[in-house]
Amino acid sequence: MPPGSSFSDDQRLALAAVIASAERVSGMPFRLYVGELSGGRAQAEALLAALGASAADTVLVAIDPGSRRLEIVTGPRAAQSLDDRTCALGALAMTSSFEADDLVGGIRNGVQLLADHARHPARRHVSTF
Amino acid sequence: MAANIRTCVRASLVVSGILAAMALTSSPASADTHRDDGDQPGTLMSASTAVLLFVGIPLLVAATVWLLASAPGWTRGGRVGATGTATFAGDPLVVDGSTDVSSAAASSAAADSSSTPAIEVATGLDVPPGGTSATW
Repeated sequence: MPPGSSFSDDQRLALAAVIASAERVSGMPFRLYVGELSGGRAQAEALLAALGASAADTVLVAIDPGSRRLEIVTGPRAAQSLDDRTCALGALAMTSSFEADDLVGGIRNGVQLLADHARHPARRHVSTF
Repeated sequence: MAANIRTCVRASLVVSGILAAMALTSSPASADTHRDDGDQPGTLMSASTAVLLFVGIPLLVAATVWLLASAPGWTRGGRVGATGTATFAGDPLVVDGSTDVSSAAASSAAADSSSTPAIEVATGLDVPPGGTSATW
């Protein structure tokens, strides 16, 4: 059984495009996990910690459609650009679509929201001193 | 003195005219107090019938609406097992920026979920990760 076999090819490509776009917009690595989260929050944090050195900069979105659970975990450096309140807003955007059985759409909306809020403003002025 | 009298007469005429107009326009309502020829009044409604009609039926309608609104939630809740250990159908899907689509079965199984890890940042401080949790 291929990974993520609950998704069609188009859906998997769409999710990959969403993550790539979020990384491009925010400048931070995003990671999406859709699967069993029997360990809850602790398991999601363990998934982030398993990334090693890049974990501090990473935003992990972990979703368990079976138990209807969503975890957004931000590394310490990522949390400086993406605070918990913004994560809660992204979670709300996702769960609103999840309730309508739109898993891919909810992921797209939530991840885009997180990426937009984490975006660093473009530098308009260059110091001449 | 004469002006005051005229004013009082004028006011009394206005008031009496208003009262007369009100009495004329309200006379059809008072006509209901006596029976007319051919009038066939219905039987009186019993107290139990009145309660059934004006209390029972609204309660039944409200219960039906509440049931229709709540039933979808009960159905969705049924997807989770009694112990809350329902599983996702299919292997885990992991997507990041470097790989398009890859399996995380091995890495997720190896992850230790028994303790909350702290991520060591470049400063050397153990800082717990941030984020949020949600259910739907």
